[in-house]
Amino acid sequence: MRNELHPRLRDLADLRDGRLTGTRTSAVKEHVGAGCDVCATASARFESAVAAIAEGPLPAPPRSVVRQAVHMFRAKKWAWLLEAPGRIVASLVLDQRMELVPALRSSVGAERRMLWMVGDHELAACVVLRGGHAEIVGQILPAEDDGSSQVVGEIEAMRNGRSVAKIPLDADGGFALRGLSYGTYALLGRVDGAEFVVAPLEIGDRA
Amino acid sequence: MTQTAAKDTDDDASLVARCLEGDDDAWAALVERHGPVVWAVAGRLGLSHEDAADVFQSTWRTALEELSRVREPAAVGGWIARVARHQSMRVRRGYGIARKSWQHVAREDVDVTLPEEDLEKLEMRSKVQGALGRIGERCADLLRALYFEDPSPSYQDIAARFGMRIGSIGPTRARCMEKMLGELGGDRDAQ
Repeated sequence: MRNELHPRLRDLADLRDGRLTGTRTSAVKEHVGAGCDVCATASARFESAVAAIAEGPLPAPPRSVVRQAVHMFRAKKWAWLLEAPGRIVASLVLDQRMELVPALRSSVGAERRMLWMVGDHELAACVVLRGGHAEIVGQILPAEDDGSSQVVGEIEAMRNGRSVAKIPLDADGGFALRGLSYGTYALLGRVDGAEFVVAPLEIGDRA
Repeated sequence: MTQTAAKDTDDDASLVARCLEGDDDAWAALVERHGPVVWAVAGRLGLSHEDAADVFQSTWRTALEELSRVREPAAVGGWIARVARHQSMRVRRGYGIARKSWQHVAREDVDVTLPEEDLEKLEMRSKVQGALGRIGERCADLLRALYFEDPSPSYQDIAARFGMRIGSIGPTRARCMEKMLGELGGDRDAQ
């Protein structure tokens, strides 16, 4: 006859290891022997885990091989951001950096002005470096703006797949993302119901 | 909104979600976590070191391409192991063809397989090692002492080593094993 209560894992483990003693022994044996599915599953999981511990850790692959596999991610991650269905990929129209001598680096306090087309909107932004950190100050407006447009949306700075700053656009479509560490970013946003992405955007004194 | 770097405690579903958001750390954590299984699969199928390295890269390249289409991100480890087996078998078939055409020997290689059951055992070994790293050092050491060390130490030795009564070993072992089984969770297929 089956007991109503299933044996504890401790009892099943003791039974397995031949250490079950005392008054519980016959009850546990009877319960398990009666074909309890729950106990059979628990015992199988226990046994499987014990076997895996006994086998020990798997040999680690060489570090060089692991590093190579880790590095292959970088190129692909931009594709995921850019290829999301329905997302508008911003098209760069102007980057002040490109008008400078290529060897010239951005410097602290310097402003770098950029302009993108985002569907029917324009995104103008200015990147300012402030000693290890940067600000992106900008505005998103309809390309055919008559001065009366009310823009609704938000913008988010992503780095390494993580959101580091997210703010709503003000009524004039303005935004300011502050305290950004130097690095490679994507700007994700929504404006008037349309989702867009600006990526990759390098920020820093080597950009 | 901020996120922390991927940790060993992050589950596979979270890591996959973060990979799809472009998180380098999450991808690195996936490779670190499941890389040993990929390497072991190639080794079990008898590949040379160089071919195993190629299979390692092709497996992760496939994972990268297909990650957004994985049906069960929580079970991505099993899916990656199967990709590794598929990639390894392709290389093995090449071994057989090369030997047959170049050396005129029997294609004994094509008979080598890695059954699903063995694949699951490899994955279990990997999962168990990960779980041992999350249940606390004392618990992990106790379970290793009981089930990994050869010869297995006596309860007297364990009691002395861990500073516990012999009567406490059983209940402590059960608590530690329950923690570990809890960490292992349920096993499902990803794709």
